[in-house]
Amino acid sequence: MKKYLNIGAIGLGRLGKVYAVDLAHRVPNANLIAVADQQAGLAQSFAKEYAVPKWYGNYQDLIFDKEIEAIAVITPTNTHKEIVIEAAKNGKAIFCEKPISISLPDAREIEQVITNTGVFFQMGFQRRFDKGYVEAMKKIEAGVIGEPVLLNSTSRDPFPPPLEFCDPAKSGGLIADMGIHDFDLARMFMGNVKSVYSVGGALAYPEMKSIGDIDNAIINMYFENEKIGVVNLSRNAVFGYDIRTEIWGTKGSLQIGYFRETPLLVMTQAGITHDVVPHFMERFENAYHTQIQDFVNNVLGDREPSIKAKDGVAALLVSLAATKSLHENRPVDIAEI
Amino acid sequence: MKKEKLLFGVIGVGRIGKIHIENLVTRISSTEVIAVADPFAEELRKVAGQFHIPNAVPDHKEILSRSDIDAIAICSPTDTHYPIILEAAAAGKHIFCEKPIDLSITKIETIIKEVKKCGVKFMVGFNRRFDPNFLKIHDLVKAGKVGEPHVLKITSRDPAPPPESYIRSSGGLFLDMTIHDFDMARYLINSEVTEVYAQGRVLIDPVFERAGDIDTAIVVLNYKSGAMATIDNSRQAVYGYDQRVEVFGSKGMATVKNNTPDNHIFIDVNGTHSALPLNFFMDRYTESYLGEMQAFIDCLQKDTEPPVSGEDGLLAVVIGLAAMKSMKKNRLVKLSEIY
Repeated sequence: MKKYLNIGAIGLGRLGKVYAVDLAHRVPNANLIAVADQQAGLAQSFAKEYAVPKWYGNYQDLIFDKEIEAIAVITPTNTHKEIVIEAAKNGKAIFCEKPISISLPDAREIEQVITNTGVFFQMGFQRRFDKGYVEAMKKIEAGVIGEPVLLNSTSRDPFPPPLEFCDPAKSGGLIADMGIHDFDLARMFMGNVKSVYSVGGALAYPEMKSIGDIDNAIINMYFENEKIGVVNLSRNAVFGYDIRTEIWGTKGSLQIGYFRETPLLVMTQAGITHDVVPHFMERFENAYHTQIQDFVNNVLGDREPSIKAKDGVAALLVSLAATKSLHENRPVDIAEI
Repeated sequence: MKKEKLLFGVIGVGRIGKIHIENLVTRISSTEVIAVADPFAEELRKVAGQFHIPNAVPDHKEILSRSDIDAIAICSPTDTHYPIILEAAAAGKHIFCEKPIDLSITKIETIIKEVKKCGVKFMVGFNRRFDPNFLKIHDLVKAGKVGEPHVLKITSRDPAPPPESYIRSSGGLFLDMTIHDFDMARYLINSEVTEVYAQGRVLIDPVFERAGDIDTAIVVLNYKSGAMATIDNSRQAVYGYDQRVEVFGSKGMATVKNNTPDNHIFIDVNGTHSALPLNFFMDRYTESYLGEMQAFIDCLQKDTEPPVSGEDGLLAVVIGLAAMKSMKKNRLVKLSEIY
């Protein structure tokens, strides 16, 4: 078995940087050979700061670099398809952040190319690697809460990403961009989703309407096995990053998530207070690291991807159905998509 | 209404009747319960004896015909509320009525008209409004602390299902259990509910299937302001009575935890262990029953409008009926389709 994986990171935005830093410093069996970003300046300064041997101002040059064996794709959703397909054609092992792509035809195309080329492809859903979610799954498998019957999940950003990012044409919109995590988890905990019904609106940021998106949503889910669930999403949790999932079963309930960031409670006459988790970088720091380490281990160990393209497609289907449901104000069966 | 004491009659001495009697007799000094009525003689005798109530009668009409009675508390089965309320109003008695008023919109409308016509006070027993936890959330929202409310989440789970006979005559989950949450949803958010989407299942106990009911549900509400709510219900949360609300808005979020008998934490090699939530409504809502009765008496003494009116009772039922229709037809239902 090879000891090291030569990897290139494509995309140095908020999240891209998290992965690139992990690959540079914290994944012992990964060699971060190159970084790429369409903002060449970003790539250059990152390479300088983190002593990365090469940098590129476009993804193609990184993919054509023969020294690189694997790539991590952490770019805007509407660019996933072209990058993943190019990488697959060039025989690179691929890690791709959620969502798999912006549309179902694009996702199917990715699936097809991966099957045809036989490259390694792992989907990125970091919550699956978060300790809370991992332990919850173990408890369920051990029967601690009996049969899971109801899922109630909450995902709230402290503020929206820039308006251009929020644009559904670029990111898929709130339901796809944020909700997809909860839809993936719902599949993991409860089974496949049969139909969805969404309500939502631009309640805090009316400018969302100008790009055809919303900032708060509630998505109801019926599962194929008759169970039920509800997901609520928001872009305006002004107090911090609010990620909680509750799985309720016939013998008990599991509550995943926490509010307190710093292990400190302050008590004065004014009251009792502690801080709140600020954003995804803090909340899921370990999960991102565990996930990318897992990718590298799987590639080097010639193992199956922990999360496959078909999981990415399944979660995307739920997102698309939920978005359609919102626009058409009716329940939508996944089978319709 | 300046008298020595307000004289009460209580109709129905079941679980909830006993709670109200105890509060009126032992915890509210300005009232006296001078009569109780119930068709079950054994229970009636016991309660009258326990609380030293001078008049114990099988028929409520004997209470309503007394001129000394100022007010009554109706704690009898739902299908008896309508005739008793009309008779009480005609007799000029002020009325505290347990929820739900009735399951029929037309009957509730008649009740609202009659009590107004007869000039008697009428209050519905949505006690959770008076629970210290939910009161606090209400006050925080009202004070603008959470800003513009966007999403209300209510979790409401019973520890165990009621008997099959109860389930069959309850009116169904939405009108029997969720009705509290529909009222809470109106109480916490200062905007009217316009639309309902409900999903319900039998996932816990086949007894609900046999009784033509459900035991697990998720209901979504849309408000006129654009705010939304989700309510999740279950008839069996084995670990206790799970009652939580959360109001999320433009400036923050207000949430409550479950009440426990104590807040100890015991830690050993297996981790931390703390008390389970209080096990049933009698324990969980003790102060709220007192709070609502005190509010009712306050209205009688000060001649003000009761904080929970016939209209509140009506709208909770309307939402419940909309939820039933939504579940049946698997679509969003506008309240205007119902009422």
